[in-house]
Amino acid sequence: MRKDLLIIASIILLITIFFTGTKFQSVEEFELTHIDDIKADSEIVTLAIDSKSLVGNEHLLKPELREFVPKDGIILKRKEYVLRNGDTVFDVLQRATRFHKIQLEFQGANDNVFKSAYIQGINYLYEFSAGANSGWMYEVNGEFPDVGVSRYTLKNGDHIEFHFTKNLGKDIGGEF
Amino acid sequence: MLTFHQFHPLTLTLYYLFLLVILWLFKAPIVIFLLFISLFLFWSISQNRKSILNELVFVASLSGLIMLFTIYFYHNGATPIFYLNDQAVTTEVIFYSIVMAVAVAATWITWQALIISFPMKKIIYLTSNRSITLAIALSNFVRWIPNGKIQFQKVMEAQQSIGYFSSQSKFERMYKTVKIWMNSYYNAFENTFQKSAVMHERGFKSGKRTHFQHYRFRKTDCIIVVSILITFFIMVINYAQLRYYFFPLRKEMTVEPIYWLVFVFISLPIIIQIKGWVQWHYYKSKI
Repeated sequence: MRKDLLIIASIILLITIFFTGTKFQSVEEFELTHIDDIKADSEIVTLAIDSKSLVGNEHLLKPELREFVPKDGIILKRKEYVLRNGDTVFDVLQRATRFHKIQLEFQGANDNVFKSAYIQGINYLYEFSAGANSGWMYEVNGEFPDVGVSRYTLKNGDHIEFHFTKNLGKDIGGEF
Repeated sequence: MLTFHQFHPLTLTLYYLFLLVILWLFKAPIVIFLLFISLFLFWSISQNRKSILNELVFVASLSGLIMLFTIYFYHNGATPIFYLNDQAVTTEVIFYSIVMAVAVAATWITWQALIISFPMKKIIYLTSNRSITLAIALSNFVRWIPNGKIQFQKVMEAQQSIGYFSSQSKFERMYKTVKIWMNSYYNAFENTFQKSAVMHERGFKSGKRTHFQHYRFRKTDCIIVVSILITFFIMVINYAQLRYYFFPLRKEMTVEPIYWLVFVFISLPIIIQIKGWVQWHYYKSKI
């Protein structure tokens, strides 16, 4: 029976690997050394990432996470990025974090019922790191969309901001 | 000549609970590795070579699977080695996966050691003072799976000898095995629970019986129980300092002073068993 259970577990693992794929990249290949050059005719969006809600509230975090909250809470200052055709918020976020070597962990679009990538953690600050209602939310042009990051298609001139919330968005103006 | 199994059931219960709670609450790698080695040695004393080898193979396979699952799905950590599907695989995750795999193996082996230390009469003894119904239900529930296993093995051997599995089709053989498996456990379930009726008929629940105490709470039991409680209390108070964390950066592995006491507790079964074994052979040599 134990052998059978091991076989079943191995089959589940193999099926998971088969469906999610195995794209291996070295650290050098993954971290972008170059990002698209902004030209005169380029479409531009801006992106900023902050964890300002945790400044002064570091006691909510475990001790090992406190060093990853910048003093001013800004993880990525607002920067401009070239908007490629069909880019979503997630595409821009992923390119920016790869280029600036900011840690990002996400759940793929095929791994949840919403069929959108879900941001679990940025710069080692994860959902639930500061309590049961904490996590990452994003706004575009001052409004909090009600779709996932990989389902929001960007337009030229959009301003994207990622905020860490302690309280389901109530502390960052994005409550439901 | 005291062996570990001869301690009072309450002492044994507290001991195993203490080990499991320490293992999963603090997740200290050194404690986890030592616990696995110590309890594996303790368990293997009462086993033959084939069982030990089977168990080692099972534990190694299970650990390997857990490691693979963890590495595939965890992407925390500050030191990436490579990227898999655009997510980092870090040294912290690899270390975490090894430790968690050994922790699961240690839990498994703790359960195996517990089964040896706790025959049915000890379970009944522990719960009968509170509720005899619970004692009967618990002991029958615990016996259901071992009875089912014995029944399954018997039926499989009998059916194999009469050519029940002589079909060429692998699926048919698998189907027949599953059918025998289900029938064996159903049969064990029926038979095990009828025993409670028999025990009831013998006046087990009538309240008129007195029972002779097989287990005495000795001085050594008292010392162990008090030591465990004090140790656990100290560890809980110092939880923030003692707990081990893996992400984003691994905590440095240090041995806090209280862990030396935990190491003594972890080694207790094997030390007592070896002492008992040496004593027994010594007395036997004097005959």
